[in-house]
Order: sequence, then C-alpha cells, then structure tokens
Amino acid sequence: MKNIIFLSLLTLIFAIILYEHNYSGVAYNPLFHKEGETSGSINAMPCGLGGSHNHKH
Amino acid sequence: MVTLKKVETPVLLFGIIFILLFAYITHSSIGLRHLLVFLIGIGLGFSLYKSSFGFTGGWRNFIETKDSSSLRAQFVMLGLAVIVFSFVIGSKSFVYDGIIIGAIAPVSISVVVGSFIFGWAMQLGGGCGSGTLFTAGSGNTKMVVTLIFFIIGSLVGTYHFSFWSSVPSLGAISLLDNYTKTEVLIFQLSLIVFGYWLVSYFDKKKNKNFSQFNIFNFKDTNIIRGTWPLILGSISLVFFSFLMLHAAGHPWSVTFSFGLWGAKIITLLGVDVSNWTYWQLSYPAIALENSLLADPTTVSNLGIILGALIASALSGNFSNQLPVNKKLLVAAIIGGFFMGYGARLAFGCNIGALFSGIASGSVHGWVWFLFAFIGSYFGVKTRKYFY
Repeated sequence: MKNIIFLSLLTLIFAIILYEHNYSGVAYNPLFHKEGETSGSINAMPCGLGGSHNHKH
Repeated sequence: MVTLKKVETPVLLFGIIFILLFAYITHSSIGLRHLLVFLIGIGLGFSLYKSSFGFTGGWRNFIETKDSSSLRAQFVMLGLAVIVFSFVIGSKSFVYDGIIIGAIAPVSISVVVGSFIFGWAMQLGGGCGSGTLFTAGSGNTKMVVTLIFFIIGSLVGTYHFSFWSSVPSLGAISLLDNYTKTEVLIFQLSLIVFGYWLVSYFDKKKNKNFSQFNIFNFKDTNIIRGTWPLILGSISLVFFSFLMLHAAGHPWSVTFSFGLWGAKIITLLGVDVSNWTYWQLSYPAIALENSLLADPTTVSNLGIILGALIASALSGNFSNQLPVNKKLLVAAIIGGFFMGYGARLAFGCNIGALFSGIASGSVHGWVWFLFAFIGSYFGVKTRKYFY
C-alpha cells in the first residue's frame, strides 16, 4: 500500500513536469549557445547564480 | 557475503518506464546534451544509492564515534576530483563546441552563515543535498518530507537574496585563475591529504579496530544488485562528474533546481516571483522563463531520483523502510527547510559548493566545508532531541 501511494505521488510530480514542459522547444538556454555567442556557458549556473561573472557583489 | 533480496519488479518497471519517457522527451524536444545530463544523473543516483554515499551520516559517525570511513572516502573523492577538474576546466568540451566552466562563488559572510545552517540542518533532515534526493528516490517517506521543505526553504532563500548579497564579501576567489595548475594541485592535494591524515589519526586513536582498507571492502560480488564499497562510490561519482562537466559545461550541482521548483509552484498559485532580485539574475531568469525540463539541474536531479529508485528496486530494499514518527517528521521539516535556506545563502550544498567548488579551485568550497562541519557538530547535538 505504501509503495502504491509513494509511486502515485511520484507519478503525479512527473506528470506535472511533463505537462508544464514546452514541447515546441525552449525560449533560451545558455547551454545551446556556441562559443563566442553571448558568452554561452558562462551564464550556466553551477551554484545557481551563474559563473564568476555574476559574482561581483 | 550478504544474501540478496528479491528484485521488486513493479518498482523497477515504474523506474524504467519513466526513464525511457524522460529520455525520449529530453532528447526530442531539447537535445542530445540534455539527454546526456539526464543519463549522467541516473548514473549518479545509482552510485549514490549503491555506495550509500552520504555526507550527513559520515560526518555524524566521525563526530560521535570518530569513525572516519566515510570522511576518508570523501577525501579520496575530492582528491580525484581536484586532479580531474584541474585539467578539464577551461578546456573544450568533447560533447559540444564550448568551454567548460568551474563552480566559482564568492567568499562571503553569506557562505559562512549559509554553510553553518546547512551543516546543522542536514543532521536533522537526515540527508544532504544529494543524500535527500537519492534517499527520497529510493522510497524513504521521511526524506520526501525533507525534500518538500528543502524546496520551500530554497524558495525563501531566493526571496531574501538581496539582503544576503549585500553582506560583506571578498568576492569570488578562483585558485586556477590566480596560480599555475601545478601550484593549485600541490596546495589543494596537500590540504586533502592533511584532512585524510587528521581524521584517520583521531579514528585510530579512538577505535582499536581501525583499518585504512575498510572503504575497499566488498560485501557483495554482484555490483548491480548488491552494495558497493565506499571507494567505488568515490570513483564512480568523480567519473560521472567528469562526464557532467563535458555534457552540461559546468560542474554537477543539485540545489539550484529546488528553488526553481518552488518558484514554479507558487507561480502556478498566482504569485509573481519574477520581480524578486534573485529571479532577475541572468540564469535564474532564463530558467524561470523556460519549462522545468529545460533546466539541466532539474534534469540531472530527476535522473538521480530515478537512478536511486531502480537501484533500490534491484536491491529489493524499496519497500524496506524504517517507520516514521511525529518527532522524525518535525526533524525532517526543520532540517529540510533550513538546508534549503542555507544552500541559497551558501551558493550551493555539499555538491554544488563543497565538492564542485573545491574541485574547481574555488576558495568558497573550503569555507563551506569548514563551517558546514562546525554546523554539523551542533546539528548532531540537536538531533538527539528528535531521533
């Protein structure tokens, strides 16, 4: 019983994520910008705030 | 050798179906790199579960009984990662046409406070950033509660971002930007060897049955269904982190997505977070604008949950969970919330800040390690009221 509830909850979460997804692609993702094109992976966020370029505070 | 339990086939099938579904969607609607990040996440989740590679229990064992096994495995992992990252960061990815960056963050009061809070809270919550994910994925109900409040705490942390970003800071200090690769390697590896020696010294002094080789012990010969020695977890996590660097372009990170999930949920409830300072920063703003599956941290976290789920089903341990009482639930709520809040202040958790930060040569990783350990000391004292 516990497994059924647990897996049902996981299914619900996964369903929300799938429902929320934009299947026509993503508006912008720094991962897909090539080198030299608006700083690309510099904006990708290992710590959630972007690379060191965002750490001037 | 330990007798293996029966495989939990329905749970295993559940995991495989969702792995195939997410693999198809990430590849078809986003791209190959997202698929790779998802698959690497599965590898990480599988490895974390098989080796029971958690920072929380390992640190607690050392604080309480001076058992250094887990800490020694963590130092081995850090040492390997420092070597690998030193050569990879700043180089070209073999997956895409771009340069790989490190996890560099400021050395600030917010890191000191945030890591202390995180270290304290993880002893209550029962798991760190990666630990919460893999134990929740493996069927542990209490850790699901921890995860929910981790998300809430992360969201509150993003709300308070403007305050914490105004506290005194030395700025980001990247060793690799300021010294030669050889100097950085010598300095970092010396610190790691010293840490390894120090915890071994205390362990040996306290425990008569101390052995340097216990982290190498195989309890099972079946590496798919049985448990792994800690050393295999260390090697495996560094291997998958190396792949993550090449696929994502940045080091493995966990907790950014928790704040994002919280922001998405309250946006659905009608709260506009886009005017919060944090969500106006470059990447957070982009992540908020896109769907969750466009965020690589979300995708790797989903992989970790599903990787741990199938590992648990293969071991026959998915249903075999300890009962949860009210005290444990309160501990999970408090621990989860403050881990989330602390992680936002400290620019990440034990993975994004400690592991990836140190491996990237960022001084904030070492500061995180020190203050989270001090926090854990007090967390172990507090934990006694709940466990």
